[in-house]
Amino acid sequence: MSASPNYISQATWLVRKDLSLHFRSKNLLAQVFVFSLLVVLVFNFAFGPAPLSPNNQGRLASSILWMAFAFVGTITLNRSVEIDRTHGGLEAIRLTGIDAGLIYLAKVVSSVIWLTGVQLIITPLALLFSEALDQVSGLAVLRLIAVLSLGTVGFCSVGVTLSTMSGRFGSESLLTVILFPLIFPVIMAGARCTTFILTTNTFGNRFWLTLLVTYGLVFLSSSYLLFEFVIEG
Amino acid sequence: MKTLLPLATVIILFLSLYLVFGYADYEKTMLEVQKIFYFHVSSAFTSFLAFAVTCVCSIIYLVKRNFKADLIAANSAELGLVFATIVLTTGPIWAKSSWNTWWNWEPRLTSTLILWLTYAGYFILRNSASSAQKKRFSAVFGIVAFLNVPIVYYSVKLWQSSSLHPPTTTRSNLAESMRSAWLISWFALTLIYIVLLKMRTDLGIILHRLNNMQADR
Repeated sequence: MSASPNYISQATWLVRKDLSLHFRSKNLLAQVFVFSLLVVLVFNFAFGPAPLSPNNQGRLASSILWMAFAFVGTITLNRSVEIDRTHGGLEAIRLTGIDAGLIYLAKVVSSVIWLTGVQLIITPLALLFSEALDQVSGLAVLRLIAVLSLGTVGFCSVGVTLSTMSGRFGSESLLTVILFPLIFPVIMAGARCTTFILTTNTFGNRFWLTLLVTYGLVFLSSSYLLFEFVIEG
Repeated sequence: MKTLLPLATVIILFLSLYLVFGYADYEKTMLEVQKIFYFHVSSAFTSFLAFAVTCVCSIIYLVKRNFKADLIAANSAELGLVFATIVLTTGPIWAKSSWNTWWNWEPRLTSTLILWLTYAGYFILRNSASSAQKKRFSAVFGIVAFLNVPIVYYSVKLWQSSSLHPPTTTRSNLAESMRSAWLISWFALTLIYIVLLKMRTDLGIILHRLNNMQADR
């Protein structure tokens, strides 16, 4: 792999293609937004209107946030693969001779951008409904964005590979079954960091942040190498 | 050779049962329930070995497209899942007797549960795919799943920092009779794994030949 201008322009083209397809689909936009809002509300209703200490409010908000992201992420990945599958888009891209690893990286980048956008809308709402919005300072917002972005990279690094495989069978539920056991470390690390940010305004134990970075790097590199085998044939 | 290994396995299995129940000392507080340890820990080690074999054979399959490597990978994952099930069954029995709770979010037990779910996913994926895709997809999944094993273990360890499991060094502090019984049990379970893996693989090869013969007709 060389970062030649041709390589970068191909990657940019693929990312733009994915994002325009996402944004063009008003149905997906509405589905993702309403669904994540529903997840936030369902969790709040399920938990009940019990008065919570600020620490527990932070924990509740971070749990709700990461649950919502896991579900919304799965919908996004399924949808993203479905678009390519139904119209033979992936095969067409392969015919142009674009490297498989590049297709993978572009898919990860576009999914991360899309999910980060969704998170920027959902996070304030989740904090609002969990009554944790008052606890967030300006610096905490920046820390929250950093953790959410790292978690999203980790989620998408595995998610893109697995959704490409499960998408071949047109089974949406298959992705959740094979993806969730693999993203437990991301959920654990992301939720722990988010709880620390909401309650103490720090990242907490450095292990969790290191784990998010390590997870992203391990699965980005391994999936980059393996993606060729996923889309061949 | 075909009967020698299964025969040796049966002999060593009976020897391990004798050592566990007739030779090894009783633990002072847990008494008979402590005997679970010999099969619980040995099954955990054997399941890790099985999943490692799946990962290695998956890499071999992707590089060489050797159908036997795929067969061994899938069979090894199947056996790993069986041994992980033994760990998850014996673990709560131990937990109830030792810690007075059926389940605790303890790092080793929790990571085994995640591992079990991961490899259950391996078979769901494998059974969903067509024959052409299933080897490739399950090989990719087998590699990615195994890369996740140490990450899951360390993250669960810190997530639930109060481990109820005795530290790993405890095993070297075991009484001599207990240590011998444990090592032989581990060896016996590893041999069972090898014998079953070989039998399943041989059966898979025969089935493959049979399918080819039917296709040729």
